Amino acid sequence: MSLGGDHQNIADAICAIEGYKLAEEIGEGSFKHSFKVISPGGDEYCLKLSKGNLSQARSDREIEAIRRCDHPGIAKLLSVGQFARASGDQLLYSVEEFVAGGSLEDHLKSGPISSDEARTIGRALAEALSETASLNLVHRDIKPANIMLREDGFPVLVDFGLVRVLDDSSVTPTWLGQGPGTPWFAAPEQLNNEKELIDWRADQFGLGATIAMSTLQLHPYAMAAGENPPAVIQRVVDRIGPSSALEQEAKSAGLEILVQMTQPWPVQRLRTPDLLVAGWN
Amino acid sequence: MPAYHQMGHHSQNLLGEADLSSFAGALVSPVNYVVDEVAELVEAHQSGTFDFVLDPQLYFPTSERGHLHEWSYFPSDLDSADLSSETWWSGLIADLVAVGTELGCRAIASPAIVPRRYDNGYFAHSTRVAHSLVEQAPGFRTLQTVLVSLDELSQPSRAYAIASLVSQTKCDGIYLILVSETEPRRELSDEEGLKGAMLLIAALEAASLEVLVGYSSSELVLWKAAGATSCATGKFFNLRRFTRSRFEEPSGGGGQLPYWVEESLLSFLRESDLLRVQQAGLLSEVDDRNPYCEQIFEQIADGEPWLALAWRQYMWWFADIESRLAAGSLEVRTLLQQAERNWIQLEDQDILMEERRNDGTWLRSWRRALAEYRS
Repeated sequence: MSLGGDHQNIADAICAIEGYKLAEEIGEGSFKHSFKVISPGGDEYCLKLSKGNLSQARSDREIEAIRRCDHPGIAKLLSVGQFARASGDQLLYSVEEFVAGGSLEDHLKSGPISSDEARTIGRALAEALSETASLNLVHRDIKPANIMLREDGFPVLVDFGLVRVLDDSSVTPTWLGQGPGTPWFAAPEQLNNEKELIDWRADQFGLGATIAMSTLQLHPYAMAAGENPPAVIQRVVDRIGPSSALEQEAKSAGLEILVQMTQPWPVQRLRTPDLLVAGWN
Repeated sequence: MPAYHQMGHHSQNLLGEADLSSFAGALVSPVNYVVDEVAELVEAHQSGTFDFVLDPQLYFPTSERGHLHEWSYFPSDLDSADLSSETWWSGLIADLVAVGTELGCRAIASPAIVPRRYDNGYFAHSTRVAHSLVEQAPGFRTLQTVLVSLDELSQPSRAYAIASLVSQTKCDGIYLILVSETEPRRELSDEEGLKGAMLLIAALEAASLEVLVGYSSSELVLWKAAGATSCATGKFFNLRRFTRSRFEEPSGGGGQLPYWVEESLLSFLRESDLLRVQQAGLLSEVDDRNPYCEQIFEQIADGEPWLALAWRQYMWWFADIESRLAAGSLEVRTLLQQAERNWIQLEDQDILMEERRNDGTWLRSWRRALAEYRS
């Protein structure tokens, strides 16, 4: 198995410093490269290397956010460090809880999840969002790839690489333009880069869209399954609202809450995390 | 919830009137009263069914401030302070809460100023200021003051954006103040602005945030149609709205003409016009229940002034119609439709108001705003 070339060598070097043994590559995203590592005691962890142009400020923010979280639905952060490359660049890395069982994205390769599984994920991640909201944090990138499933099926939110601490008034240049959220699951306020409107309810939208796609195989704003993504995203940008197809499918599945979670304006969604948790219960 | 009394210049004597006892509470006015006067009012009138809300009234930093500068929370550096500084607001709120505690008020509204631009940053900042109030005022019911112009709300979708921003609040409710440039004795008539205000109220109420619309007048029928929990008015709001000029001109009653509020026309009538409408048989049945109506006619018959009674007649009507609308015994669409018909009947009979611009034309704007809001 490939361990990611240059990053493998760096991961090896970090493991030597931190006292871990490099086990295998987990995956590579736009901003991070992840590896499974083994502690001297035999426990498995996840080493994440920041890639390329990720700024120091942004990674500090991410790291501090995760450190402040203590919830079974949020991957725990163990350590943070910087690695000096030969070029002189500083590469940030973190070691966090390794969640066995694969991502929701992996699970979806074998077909959609059931309504019961959707409810399990909805309940657990609503509580996770309650935790992040209480810390004034927004994940901003909730999607199947960022939801790991423990071996018992319990979902864990990972990769806070896009978390923004709302108390921090500084906004780094990476937030400009289209915004950092993954467009397919992003809320209208993210796609329209309306930064004052982005709060935990953007995550509520992302979770609703993720569950709708995972169980109904339907984006909330799609008129039908499999519709051309750019047209669907444009409807999100234009705040057209959830489609009648979603309303029907969600009702049939007993998941009507998805309609409210994916309303175009934050005020139209569930206003407080408590209401979201209650809605899933 | 019943109506609130928006206190103003010399309105304390209305608090104890038995026939005006249906108000749920009063919004105190530091511009018009000193702290000792308010303390006495709270002591005398606050009860299990009547609350006092402390509104700091810092809306216009450079305007006439009346007694405001005598209140300990009033910042000496208001004209020069960095109003974007949350630290500065936090200090002001600490002083405000201390005053609220001293007075014994049960509720406090967050301090807010009328901005030059109602952009997203303004509402986000107002919400953070209100959050500071929540943190510093445990034990108080807290209201987030939301100042917004009708002109701003006339922009498509703006109501939803503003509602999204202020619904981040941790306050118990919203104290909504609609800012306009409406001249005295003119009704609000910007259809798009009225519709936007209704959408804002409805969106906040749907999000389980109770909205108290301050500085209301007869247009409360629209706010109630949108689901506003409460509306507030004061004795001068038969004539004026929330405008900058209200805080820049003398607010005394000297030289003021008495007006009769007439539900059948949703209008305010001067004495001569009242008598014309009476002769046409168009006075509302509600007037028979309003204890001040008969007294007014007696005063008129005796050639005596009736300004003080006019204020009371209006306040009684406001609380009464709020109650009927809240109970669902009165339907706003029908009310507006009938009022417009009554104006047409007056026109057909050549019964023309002495006050030329008192012609009911705003009712068409209100009906259109209501129809578009409901669509």
